[in-house]
Parts: sequence; C-alpha cells; structure tokens
Amino acid sequence: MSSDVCTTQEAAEILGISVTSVQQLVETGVIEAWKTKGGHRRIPIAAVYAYKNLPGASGQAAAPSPRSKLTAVLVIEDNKMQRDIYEKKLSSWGLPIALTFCENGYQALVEIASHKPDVLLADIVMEGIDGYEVIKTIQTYPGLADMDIAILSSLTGAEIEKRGGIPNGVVFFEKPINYDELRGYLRACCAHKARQFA
Amino acid sequence: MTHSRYIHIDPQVLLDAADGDIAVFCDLCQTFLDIAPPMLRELEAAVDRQDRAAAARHSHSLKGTVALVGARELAALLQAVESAAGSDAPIPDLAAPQALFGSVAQEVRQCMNSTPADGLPVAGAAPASEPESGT
Repeated sequence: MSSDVCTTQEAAEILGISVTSVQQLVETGVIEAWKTKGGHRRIPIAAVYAYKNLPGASGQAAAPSPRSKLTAVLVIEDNKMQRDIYEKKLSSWGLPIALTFCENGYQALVEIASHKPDVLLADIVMEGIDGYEVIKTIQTYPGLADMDIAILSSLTGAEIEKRGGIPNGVVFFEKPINYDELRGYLRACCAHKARQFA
Repeated sequence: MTHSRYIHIDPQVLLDAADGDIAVFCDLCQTFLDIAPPMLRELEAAVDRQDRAAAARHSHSLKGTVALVGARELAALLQAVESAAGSDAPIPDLAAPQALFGSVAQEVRQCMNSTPADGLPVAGAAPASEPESGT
C-alpha cells in the first residue's frame, strides 16, 4: 500500500476514534477520501493529520483576541427544543460567556478545531459521533487539557456505567437539568477563565 | 376566567424552562409539535425493521423531548422501550406510547393556543372543552 494513503482502520487508529466515526467524517466531507475500483476506501494521510492538527497540539497557545475575555462555551445538543431552552437559560444569567451551539459531534469537532472553546457542554446520545467520542477525542490532545467539560444527559447511572462511566475530570448533569447547579458550574468556569487575565 | 387543565403534560415544566416568558413558552410548544411527531415516526420505523440500536436512540431522543413538556407517563413508557431496545429483551409494543403521544400533542396544542384570559396552564384535571381535530 502507498505510504501517502491509509485505510479507514488506520485513520481510526491515528485519530483514536472508531472506524464508524471515520466513515461518517468521510461521508460528511470533513475528511476527504476516495474508493478504489474494488470499493475499498483510501484516505490521504495528509487529510487525516490535517484533521488531527488541532490548535494547541504543538504546545503553542493562540494569540489572545479582544473577544477572548469572554468564556467560550460550546454546547453540543441534537434536540432543537433543548438547544432553544439552553440558549434562553444561559443567555439570561448575565455571565461573560460567548455561546456556540452544534447539532452533532462532527460539527463540534470542526468547531473545536477552529475555535477552541473554554467550556464544553455535551449531550451523549446523538447520531454519528456521540458525546463520548467527542470527549475522548478532546482528551487525547494535551493542548485541549484545560477545557472544562460537562456531560448533560438523560442516560441513567446504569447506562452511563455501561458506557464506561464518567470520564476523569468531566462533570455530569443528569436531565432534567438543575439549572441552578449548571449556573454555578458556569460561574466557576468563568472565574477560571478570568484568572488568565488577572 | 376559565383555566385550561392538563392531565398528560405539565405545562409548568416548560414554563419554568422558558423562565415564565409566555412568548418563548409558545415558541417551544410549536417546536415540540414540529420535531416530536417525526421522532415518533423514526422510532416506529426502527421498531418495524427490528433495528435495536436505532430504536434505543430514537426512544431516548423522544423521551427527552416529551419530558420537556412534563409528559412523565409517556416518558416512562419510552424509557421502557429504550431499556428493552438496549438489551436482549423484547421491544414493547408501541401502541400505548403512540396513543399517549396523541393526547400529549393535543394538550401541547391546547396549551399553546391558550390566551392570557384562560390563565396560566395548570396541570391536574381533565382537558378543557372539545378536542381539536387533526394530528
């Protein structure tokens, strides 16, 4: 096999995600690929590493921008009604946050690659790349280690355990969300961010 | 002044989520009516083709959506479907959640069409007056 391309399996190993997730990244055009006459998918290794090359991965921090004093909060939620509620609630708290919403894990990874958020609020059960995959991907990058991550899910405790439990350093909010607790969590995240400018 | 009453939903749940903003509350009701029926259809299709993973995912999604309007009984039925689909247990028949979903949607529609003169929605007793036609 040419050293310029790899298989779906090899791409999955490089990225540390499942084969299914790689297939879906290819199908949505996030990573380019083609198929041989025999129907076997080939992915340019450069495309895999371009996707893997997230900001901060080299250890160099991005230059601060005027907007960066706001705590960038990325919410991954596939349910429109729940997104609308989050937007209403979080916007009403008077916190120094910049809110971004993604409808699925793919969009979230692309957003994280281009605009590294300070806080990630992630649903778990979503079609395609689920919240666990997104969090697992984030946790493989040292440059993203300081991101505050919380899971917001209606999965039961037993279901969470079946999936491997809550990842280290991740906070879990069970739905229906206690918004007083979520507000307190975000206030702490904002204080954490503010210390960077102290 | 008449008060609309609901037995399959708890409008206060959604009203609290909307921070008491009636306009936002009505928008969320409409969003529910837009997104929930297709979710039910996706669940039905998944069960028909015996796709357990899809049935678990769609029942989970619909469960979360109906919970947002305080439809606790329907949410419990969908939890049972989700749990069964995620295991080797037989997937329960959808007749009960399908019938209850119709009632939930009807009450959400009633709620959304309530006027300030009807007072804030109150959970607890039988739905007001005539049932609406259509889905």
